[in-house]
Amino acid sequence: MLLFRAVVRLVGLLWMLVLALLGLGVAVYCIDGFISLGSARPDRLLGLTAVRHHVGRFLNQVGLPGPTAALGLLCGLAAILIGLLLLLGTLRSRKERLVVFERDVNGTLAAKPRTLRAMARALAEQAPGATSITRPRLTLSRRGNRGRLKVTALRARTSDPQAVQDAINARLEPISDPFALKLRIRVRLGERGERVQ
Amino acid sequence: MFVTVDGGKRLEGVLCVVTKDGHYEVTLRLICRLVPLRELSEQVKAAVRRTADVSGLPVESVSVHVAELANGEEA
Repeated sequence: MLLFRAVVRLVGLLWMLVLALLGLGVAVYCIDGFISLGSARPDRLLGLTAVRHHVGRFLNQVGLPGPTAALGLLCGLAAILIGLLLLLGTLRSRKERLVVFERDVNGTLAAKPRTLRAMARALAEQAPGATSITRPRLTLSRRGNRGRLKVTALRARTSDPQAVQDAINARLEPISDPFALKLRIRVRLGERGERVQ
Repeated sequence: MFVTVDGGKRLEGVLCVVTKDGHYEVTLRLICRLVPLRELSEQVKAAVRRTADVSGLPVESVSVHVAELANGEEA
C-alpha cells in the first residue's frame, strides 16, 4: 500500500508537469496568432506532424480486425485499470484509521488496527491448548468505534476445541469489550510439527 | 506527522495543537507493552495534566494513540 501511494504521488507530480508543459505549449501557440513564430512554433519544434502521421496509421490499424486491434484492446483495458487504480489512490482518504476505545471532551484513547491485531494475537497465544494463532483479521466500522475480529487458532489433538475457544474468548476480553469488537474464533486441529504450548 | 518542535527540540510521538481559546490539545503516540490500555491511558493523561499544571499551560484534552507493541510484540 505504501508503494502504491508513492506511485500515485509520483504520477500526480508528473501529471502536473505534463499539464504545465501542455499549457505552456498552448500559450506559445496562441502567441503565434499575433506574432509569427515560424519554425519555433511548438508543434514544429516537437515534430508533431510526423507524430500525427505515425499515430494516424496505428489508429487505422486498430480500427481494422487483426492482431493490432487485439493489442489495442488489451492496452486500452490495461489503461482503464491503471486509471481506476490511480483514481482510487488519489481519492482514497489519507486519514489514518484508528480503533477508538473511548472518546470524550477530555480526549481519546485509540489504537492502530495493526497494533490491536498484534495485541489480539499475543493475548490469544496465551490461551491454554492453543498451539498457534494465525494473523487475526479486523474489520472496522466507518467511525472505528465498532468492529469484528476474526481469530483462527490451532489446537493440539488432546485439547478440547470448545475449551480452547472459551479460553481464547476469555483472553481477548480485555480488548474485545472496550473496543466493542465482535469476536469470531475458529479452532482447528494443528498439523504435525507445529508448536504446542 | 506526530512531531512537535519545542525550543529547537523535536518531540517525536507528540502532537500539540492550540485551540482558538488558547488551550492545548495534546495527542501522544505510544509504543507500549501488553498492558491494560485504559489504566495506561489514565496514567499518561494524569502525568501530562500534572506537568501542564506545573508549567501553567491550559490543556483542553489529552489523547492517547497506541501505535505499536514493544519488545518483539509488534505487528
